[in-house]
Amino acid sequence: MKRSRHLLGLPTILAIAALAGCDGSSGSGDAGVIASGADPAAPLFQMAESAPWTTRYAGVRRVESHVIDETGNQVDLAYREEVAADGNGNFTIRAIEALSYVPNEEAFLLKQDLRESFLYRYRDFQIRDLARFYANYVAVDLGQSTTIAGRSASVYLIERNEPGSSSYTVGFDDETGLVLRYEERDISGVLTASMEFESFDADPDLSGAVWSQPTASPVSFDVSANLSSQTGFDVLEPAVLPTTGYFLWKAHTLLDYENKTWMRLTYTDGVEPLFFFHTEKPVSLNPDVLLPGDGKTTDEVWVYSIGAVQVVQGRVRGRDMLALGRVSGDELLDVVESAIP
Amino acid sequence: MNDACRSFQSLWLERALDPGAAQERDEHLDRCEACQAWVGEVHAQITALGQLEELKAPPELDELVFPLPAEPDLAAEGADEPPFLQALRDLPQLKAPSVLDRLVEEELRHPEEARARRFVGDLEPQEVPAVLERRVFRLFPPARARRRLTAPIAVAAAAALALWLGFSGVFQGASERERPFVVHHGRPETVHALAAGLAEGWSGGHQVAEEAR
Repeated sequence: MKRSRHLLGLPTILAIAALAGCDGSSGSGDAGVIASGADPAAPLFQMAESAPWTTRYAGVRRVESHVIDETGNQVDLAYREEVAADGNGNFTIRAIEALSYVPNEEAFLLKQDLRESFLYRYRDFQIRDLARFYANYVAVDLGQSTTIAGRSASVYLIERNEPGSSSYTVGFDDETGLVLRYEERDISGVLTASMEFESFDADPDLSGAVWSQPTASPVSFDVSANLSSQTGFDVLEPAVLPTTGYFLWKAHTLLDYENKTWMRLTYTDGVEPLFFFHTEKPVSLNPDVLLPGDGKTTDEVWVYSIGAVQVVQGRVRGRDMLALGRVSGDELLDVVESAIP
Repeated sequence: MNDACRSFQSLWLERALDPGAAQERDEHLDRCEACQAWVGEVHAQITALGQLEELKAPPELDELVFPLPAEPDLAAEGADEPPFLQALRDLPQLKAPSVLDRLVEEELRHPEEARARRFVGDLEPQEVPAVLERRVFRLFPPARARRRLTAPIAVAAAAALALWLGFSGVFQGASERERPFVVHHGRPETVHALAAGLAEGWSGGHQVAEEAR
């Protein structure tokens, strides 16, 4: 087993290299101090970041999820789905059968189809941003060359730098970097989620494929530029993010079922996403209700969990707000609080 | 090289990187030949680096990084200043998040309380004056009676602790820091459809109970 990437920040490495020489002979001999470019796994991880969007493939995969519900009971869910992508950004997922008990299988399968876009983008383990992945995660090459659905794969144990988070065992396709299998375990080692390709076709006939279409007409914005000037309304950007290295990744506006415009800011630590939503402008307030500062407040939020996801939902300063992430409720509350103008 | 050497070298480098700090004599260095040699090598490298000729960035780079305005007003005040200073001055002023404002304000309002809270653990335990000890222990019954009371007191203390822990679990908000909005723990009467859909998908498809929507 070997650690596949650096454990020190770049400034520290540069400072030490400048002072102590770069040949390693006079350094501490710490094998973890390896620049990402020298990492033998770097090409694989680089491919993995873009593989879902650049790989043409089709296959059947089995998905499992095990969560603790509000009453403390474990709820298991397993199903099988077909997935395909054309390598040019188009994809489709069709749930084909439930493998565990669901109250209404037909409705469940339909619902999964409707949310295929979210499932493809966010449900599974994925290297979403390589730089953040290198900054926040440690990948250990388990030295297991294995075969998954007939494809040669390399298996890595991937954990966050700091303890107390889930860990992933991930099988990457050696040729494309696509994730062919992953298992997620909580800090106690209990399996919480998994996905595995049961069959894989690297040269599929996609002539009849019906690609996923955006359902809520999201409009995308450039996160490197001022968002308020792009959207035409005040975008509330959280100034405090979880201390685990999240950064603003994507920004969209979308319409909800009431035709209300929401700003959606998506953050990531390289693997995990975190979402912050707020409505475009203050919603109409009940005139009988006094504004904050008048001795009575309407600002209130609820903190709760759905599966493994923490949610903060509420109305603050007249705007509806939502924050979702796999972080603590307190951290999400800090996110919401720091976005208040 | 052992742990002491690594620790010494790490500390030495930290001091070397801090221009205000002077390298002090160190017992480890006095008796460790390997570290003496290492310090010699690093000194030589620092000296060599310091003697390198300082190169000026080419003007093309300055223009790329700090593009000049289309029609520079050469008569304007500050026209002679380096472009990077002008660029820094033109950066938008960022507002500190209100959560930080509040935390700083709390500290400034009660600095002694904040200091006490932060450093109370560092205080050295003090001996109890003999007079105080005598006065306190005079209030207690004789030793035999004290022994008889020990078990019930321990049970009562354990029960009180359990009750306190129980209550603190029920009233989760009681010990939380103040926020500029009311925080409820648990699902609201209506889970927002966006949150429900997104969290369900994220959890693989686990459904939020319909009655909670």
